[in-house]
Amino acid sequence: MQLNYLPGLLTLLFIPVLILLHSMRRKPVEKQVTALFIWEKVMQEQKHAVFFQALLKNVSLLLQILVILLLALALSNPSVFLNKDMAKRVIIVLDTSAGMKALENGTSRFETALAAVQEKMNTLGRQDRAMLVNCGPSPSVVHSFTTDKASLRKRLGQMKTTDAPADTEKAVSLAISFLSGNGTDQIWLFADRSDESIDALTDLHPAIVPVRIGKPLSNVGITGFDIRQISGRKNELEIYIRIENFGNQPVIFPLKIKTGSGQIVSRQIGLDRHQAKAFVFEHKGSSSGIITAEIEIEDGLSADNKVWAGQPLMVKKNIFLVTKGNYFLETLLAVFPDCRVATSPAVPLETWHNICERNDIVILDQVPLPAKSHGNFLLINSFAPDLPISAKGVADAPEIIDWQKDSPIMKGINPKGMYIETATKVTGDDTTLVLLESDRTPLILQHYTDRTKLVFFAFNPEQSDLPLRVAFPVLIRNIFQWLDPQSSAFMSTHIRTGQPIVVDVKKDNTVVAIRKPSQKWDRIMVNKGPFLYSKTHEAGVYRVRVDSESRFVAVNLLDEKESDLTGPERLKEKKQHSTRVGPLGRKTQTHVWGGITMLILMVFFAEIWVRFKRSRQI
Amino acid sequence: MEPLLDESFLRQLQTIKTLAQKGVKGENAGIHRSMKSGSSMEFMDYRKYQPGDDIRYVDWNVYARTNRLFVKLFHAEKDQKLYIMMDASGSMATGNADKLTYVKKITAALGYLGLAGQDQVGITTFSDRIEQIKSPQRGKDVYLSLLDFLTGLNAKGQTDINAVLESFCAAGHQPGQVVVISDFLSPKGFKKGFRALAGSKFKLSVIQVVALDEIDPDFKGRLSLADVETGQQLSLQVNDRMKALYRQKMTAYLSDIRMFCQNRGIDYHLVDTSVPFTDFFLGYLGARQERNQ
Repeated sequence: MQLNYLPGLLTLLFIPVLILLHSMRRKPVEKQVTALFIWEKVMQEQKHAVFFQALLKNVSLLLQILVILLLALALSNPSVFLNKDMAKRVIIVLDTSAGMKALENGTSRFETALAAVQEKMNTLGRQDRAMLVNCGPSPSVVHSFTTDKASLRKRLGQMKTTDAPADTEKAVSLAISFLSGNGTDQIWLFADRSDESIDALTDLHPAIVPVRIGKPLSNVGITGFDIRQISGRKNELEIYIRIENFGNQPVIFPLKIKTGSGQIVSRQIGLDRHQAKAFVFEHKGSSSGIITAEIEIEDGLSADNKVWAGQPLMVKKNIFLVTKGNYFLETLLAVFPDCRVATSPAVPLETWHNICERNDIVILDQVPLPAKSHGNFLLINSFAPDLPISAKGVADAPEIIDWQKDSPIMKGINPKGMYIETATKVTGDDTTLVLLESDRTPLILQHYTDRTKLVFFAFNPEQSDLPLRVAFPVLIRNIFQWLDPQSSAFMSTHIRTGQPIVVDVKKDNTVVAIRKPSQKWDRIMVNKGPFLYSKTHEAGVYRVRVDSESRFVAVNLLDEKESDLTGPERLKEKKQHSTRVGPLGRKTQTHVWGGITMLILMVFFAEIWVRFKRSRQI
Repeated sequence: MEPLLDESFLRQLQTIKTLAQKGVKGENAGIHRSMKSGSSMEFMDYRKYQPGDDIRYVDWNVYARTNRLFVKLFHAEKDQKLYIMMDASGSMATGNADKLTYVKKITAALGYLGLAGQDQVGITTFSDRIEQIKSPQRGKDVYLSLLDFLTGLNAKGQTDINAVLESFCAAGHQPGQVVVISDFLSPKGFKKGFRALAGSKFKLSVIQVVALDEIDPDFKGRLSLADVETGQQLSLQVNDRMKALYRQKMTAYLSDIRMFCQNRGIDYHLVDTSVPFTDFFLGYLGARQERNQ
């Protein structure tokens, strides 16, 4: 009930006045008698009547107080919220992440969760509706709202766990989007772990009812694995592996790393409770194919005990640099092993369009950009008539005031305090985004159209301390990654479960065949590249075949949250309520002052009747 | 001061000659004829002298003629003691017609008749104890002092009939007639005292004086009833139903007193103060005469 006019409650002040008036009421007349003992006998026989008399004496006051209470309530304009649809709607969100494979006494957490879901579903009424959401790496609706519980159970039985981490936040958000807002809907979240996003969501939305699955388990998992070629040493690899003990007991177990040709590493690893260790092993020799690392231990989750990695493929970027001399930039490009750089002091106008098309990235250092150029450009104080960026003068010693921290180009960059001797004052149109801004002019801008991507420097790095900062190679690498992401992505030979495999398709209408770790093939007709294959929920080695070329991509869990099976202890318990009021309640507000007024009249007449009865008694 | 008995009433009393009755125990000579032989002048018989007989009653003439000793036997005319015990507790001051005044009139009338009949008349007033005592005296000239005694009485205190009558019995009074006049409205009862008095040397007579509104209350509504003697209060809403129940209870209480007296041969009279005193008293005397005959 809600009171819409609180000043109406001031009427309650009449209650003490009423009590005062009653206390001032005429006292009973005193009458002297000689046979009081006879009257006492009369009273003993008339106990009920006397009780009724006492009640009658006070009931009038009580009724008058009740009238004032009701009057105050009526004047405060009360209203109640009534649900139109009383049938409950439930959204079942079931975690299918790798952690649900954890075994407890021979039963996986997923099986436990299925039983819990079935049990909870038994509490639903015939008219209650439920839907099913898969809380996996790519949350999806498994079954829409239905009253058909058998159909739900069937779809529930078809659900399987993956080797990937769950995107719980996305799954819950998906479920929330189906809430009607009438306050009766609930989201039953069956999850085996806790992260801050779940806690935040359960706090945010009262409809979420988390159901904790599983007990804390000890587990050891590989949480990091990578391979890279040692710079300057051909056929030599560095193998990085990180192993973490999530249990409360120290453990010792063998680690084995193998290639197709044989075993590279075999050693005993000891980890204290909650300890993580990283190891780097060097490997010499031919190293084609897949490298496998495995820890041999009986623990809660086996999915994180084995990882795979393909040998890094070096696909070089073709970079065309037009400059009259830029020491720092040229030195940096020479250091990048994946860059094949061609340098020219001037723009070769005759072949310019071919150059732009053939090279992945074109860098113009203080050289005007020819008109109608299309491609990926890094422009350093390089202008053109058809550019959305134009020069407006010169700014001396501009001071950095802001930058786009969320931009992939500025990722890991802290330009605060960077000194720039001179910059060109520039302005960009609506198609440009300022990435780095000074108090006088934008310093770095980006521009993106269907056929052109460019990053624009409004200053010469040589006239700043940027090349002397760690940020310089990171910035240039970020720029290259943003300008030409395909080439870099294609280099990936091992990814995490749930992440897509990027397949570079050079020809239109090409059939891409992918063999999963389960040896099943997926064949997809790709109209235009690049193609992202997202069904990577199974850990293992995927074979990607495009036309006659084929390569391997290793997919690993490598997720600390999934490997940490102690999570359920931290899962926030919430009491379940049959009804909840959501923040966007779609309830009907009904004013009830009319009904209360009727009640007042009834009590008023009752009070009159009591007075009448009392007068009759006298 | 209003005279307790007016002249006309006294004249009426004098014409009634029913007070002297036979068979009352007593030692002093009076107008009541005793069955016991004694020293009055009315000769009854002779009998042989026995050792211990009063030698003054030996008929010496008969001895001279017969040489045998005979003593004269006479009707011993004994006097009677009349003890009037009147309730002077607080409750007696109530009633539309003051109960205490009514009781004073009864006492005065009884006293007058007793004195007129050569009885010794004593008055005892009581509440929850014996308050004042006027010792039994004989002679019509005592009447004025009796009236003075009555005039100075006030109603006060609580009532305890049992304690008072038991106390009276224990005081060693000479035998006689005891007339107890009270409203007998006491939660402590009366039976124990009546038993004590009736079981001893006294002839008990009871006159219950009540006010009409004590039998049939004329009030109702929300009242705080206060006991006139104890001050105890009782709040209640008096309605017709409760009044009817009160009347029923009061009637039962009065009947209980009457039955108790009847069963024990105790002379009992009930009067409410709305009845004119002369009407009541003449009726009382008539009833008493009938009873004695």
